[in-house]
Amino acid sequence: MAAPWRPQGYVPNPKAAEKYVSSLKWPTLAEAGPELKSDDKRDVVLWPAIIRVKPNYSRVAQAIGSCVGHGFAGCIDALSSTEIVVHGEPEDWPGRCLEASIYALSRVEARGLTRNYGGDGSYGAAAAEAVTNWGCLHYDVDYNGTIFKEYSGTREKQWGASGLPDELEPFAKRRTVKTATLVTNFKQLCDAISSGYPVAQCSQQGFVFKRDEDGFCKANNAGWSHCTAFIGKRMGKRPGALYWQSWGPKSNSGPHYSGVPGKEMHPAFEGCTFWVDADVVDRMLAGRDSYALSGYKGFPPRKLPRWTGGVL
Amino acid sequence: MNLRTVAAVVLLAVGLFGVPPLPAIPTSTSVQEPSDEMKTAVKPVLKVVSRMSPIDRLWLQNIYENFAKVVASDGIVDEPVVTSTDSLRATHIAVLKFIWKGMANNSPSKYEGLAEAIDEVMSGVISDESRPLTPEMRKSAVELCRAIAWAGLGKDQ
Repeated sequence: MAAPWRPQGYVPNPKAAEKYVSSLKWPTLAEAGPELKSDDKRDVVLWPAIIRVKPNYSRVAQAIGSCVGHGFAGCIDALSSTEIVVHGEPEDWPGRCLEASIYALSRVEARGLTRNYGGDGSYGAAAAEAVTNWGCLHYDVDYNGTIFKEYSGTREKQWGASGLPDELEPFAKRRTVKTATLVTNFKQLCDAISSGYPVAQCSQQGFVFKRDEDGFCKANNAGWSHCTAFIGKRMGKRPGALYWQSWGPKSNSGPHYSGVPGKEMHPAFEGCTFWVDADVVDRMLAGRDSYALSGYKGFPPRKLPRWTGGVL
Repeated sequence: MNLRTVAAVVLLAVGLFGVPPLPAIPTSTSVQEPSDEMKTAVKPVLKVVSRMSPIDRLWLQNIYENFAKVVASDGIVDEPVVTSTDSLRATHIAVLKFIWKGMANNSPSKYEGLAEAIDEVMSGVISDESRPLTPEMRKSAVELCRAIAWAGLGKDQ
């Protein structure tokens, strides 16, 4: 039986990535946050913050080669919820980040194009440029009468060619990421995630689908040209990073470790995450097109209805 | 069963078992005196309390003493339930429904300005925005509820 088709969509562009990185004020995490330090003993995962702000959170399986939009959108969900829950930022969490918005902006606007009729796919630097300078949209938010309720691969296909519709660009601009910083090894990833900054990784690394007894998926030579989010790090006898797949809720199986001792992995993440060994993470990030995101310009807090609820 | 039979049954029951007890009303508990800052904050409530019956003032004390306990103890043994101003508000309304409406059998708007006064002080001291509940906000909420309970004593009148 043929394996189900699992779209990827990372199209490396090393020249453009280097150009983008060299344009950054602080190109690498070491320069952007020299004070950032990871506790070598502590495991840190960002998924509980997402569940805290959205208990029924779930992600979809990407339908086309739009992984770059999905990887960065997952990072923005993790970043924005962490800023609310952990850093106590007074913001409202309206809904999941709309993958198509980042995908479109990374293919067209962020590259200075008006159209892009090339095949599907994008690269990390373009998405980093998109989320920092062009922003993103969200599901369930009213954009002057337009509300995105459901995921659509067709929308990604269309917007991937046309770019984000002009009338939506001003809305996206309100929700930008302050900083995207190149992450090139596991140590830097740990420093970023310990501070609540997820890492969007772009690499050619493939994995088996079944997790081993420690919750890791072993790297293989499948050669996935893929972008996903890293949303956790674990230390101890087998250090690694938590890889968040964009192939739907049943893309991985086997034993798991949630990253929180004594706590089960939440069902929304159980079937689409696995741990990657630190040496493999080093290889993946060495491709120099993976970024830690920080400082999301979120939604202002909603006003509460009356405290007494009509009872007094 | 006609009215005469019902009256006879009731009289017989009273003769045999005595007068049934009246519904339990709360008795004043040991209300802590709040800080000067909290006394100032609850002034809008004090104004309305002066027009409330003694029994309803006791109910007010009862509500806010208990609510303060709920908020203060949340998260000590298990994961916290009240983690945002939204969940704090929902718990507040649940306590109001349970005691003010359910036990005291009071209707909404029984005392003009009471809801507005409570809303004003809660919004002022805690927040009028949907946001995560920080430890500082939780502490303020507990102090405020104790101060509202103290306002129920009407000592400042």
